[in-house]
Amino acid sequence: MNLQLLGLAFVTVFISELGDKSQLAAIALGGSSKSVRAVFLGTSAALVVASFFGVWLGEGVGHLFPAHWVKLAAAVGFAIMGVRLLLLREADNAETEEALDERA
Amino acid sequence: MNLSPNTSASSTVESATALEREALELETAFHMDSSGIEGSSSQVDAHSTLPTQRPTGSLVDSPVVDSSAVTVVAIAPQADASHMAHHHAELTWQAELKIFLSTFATIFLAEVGDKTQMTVLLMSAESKSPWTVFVGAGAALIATSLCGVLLGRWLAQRIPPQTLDRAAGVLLLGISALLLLDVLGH
Repeated sequence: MNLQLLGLAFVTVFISELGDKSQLAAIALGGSSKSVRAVFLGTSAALVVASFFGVWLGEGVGHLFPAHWVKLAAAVGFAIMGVRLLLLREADNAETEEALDERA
Repeated sequence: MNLSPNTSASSTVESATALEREALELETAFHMDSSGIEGSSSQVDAHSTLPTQRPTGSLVDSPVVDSSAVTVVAIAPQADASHMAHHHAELTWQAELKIFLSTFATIFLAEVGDKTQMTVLLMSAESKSPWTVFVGAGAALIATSLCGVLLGRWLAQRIPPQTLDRAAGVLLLGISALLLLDVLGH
C-alpha cells in the first residue's frame, strides 16, 4: 500500500471535512442526542459509505443519484431533526416536570 | 428521523417508577393492616391484589409494570436499581438503533455528491490504487466525525441542556437551509 497516497488522502479529506456541514451536524447531534455512540457510528458509517460509492462507482455516481432530490431529502431530514429538537424536546421537558410535580 | 422514542421512553420509565412507588406504598399499607399474618402469605395476597391497582392501556405492555417485576420490587426494594438499569439498557438499544439510522440516513444523503465525495472520486480516479484513497479518506471521515461528536459532548457538559437543544436545533435548521440553497443555486 502506498503510504504517501494514503497520507495524502487522509490529510486532504480531513481538512476539507473540518467545519463542513456533516461535522457541524455531528456536533449538534452528539451534544443533544442521548446516545453519543449511536451518533458517532451513524455519522462515520454514512461518510464511509458515501465515499465508498465515490470510489466504487467512479464518475457514474452522478447519474445514479440525482443530486437535486438527494440534497432536498437531506435538507428535509435536517429540518425535521432541528424542529424536533426545538419544539418536541421542550414539550417533553415540560411533561417530565409535570410528572415530577405530581409525584412530589 | 425519529428522535422522540427515546425521550418518550424515559417518560414511560418515569411514570413506571411512580407506579412502582405506589405499589410499594400499597404493599406497606397491606402489611400494616394484616399484622400477624406470615410474610410469605401476605406477599401472595399483595401479588393478587396489585394488578387491579394498575391502569389498563399501553403501559400494561411495558415490562416495567409487569406484575412479577412489581412484586420483586415490593419484596426487595434494593432490586429496584438493577431492574431499572436493565430496562433502561433495553430501551437504549432500540433508541440507539433509531438514532443510528436517522443519523446515517441524513448524513449520507447530505454527503452524497458533496465536495468530499468529489475529492475522493477525483483522487481515486487519478491514482492507480483507488482503495488506498478510500482507506485514507475513510479514516479521515471517521476522525472528523469523532472530533465533532466529542466536541458536541464536551459542549453538552458545559451548556445547560435546553440552551444546547435550542442551539443544536438552530444549527440543524441552518444546515437544512444551506442544502436548500445548494439545490436552488444549481
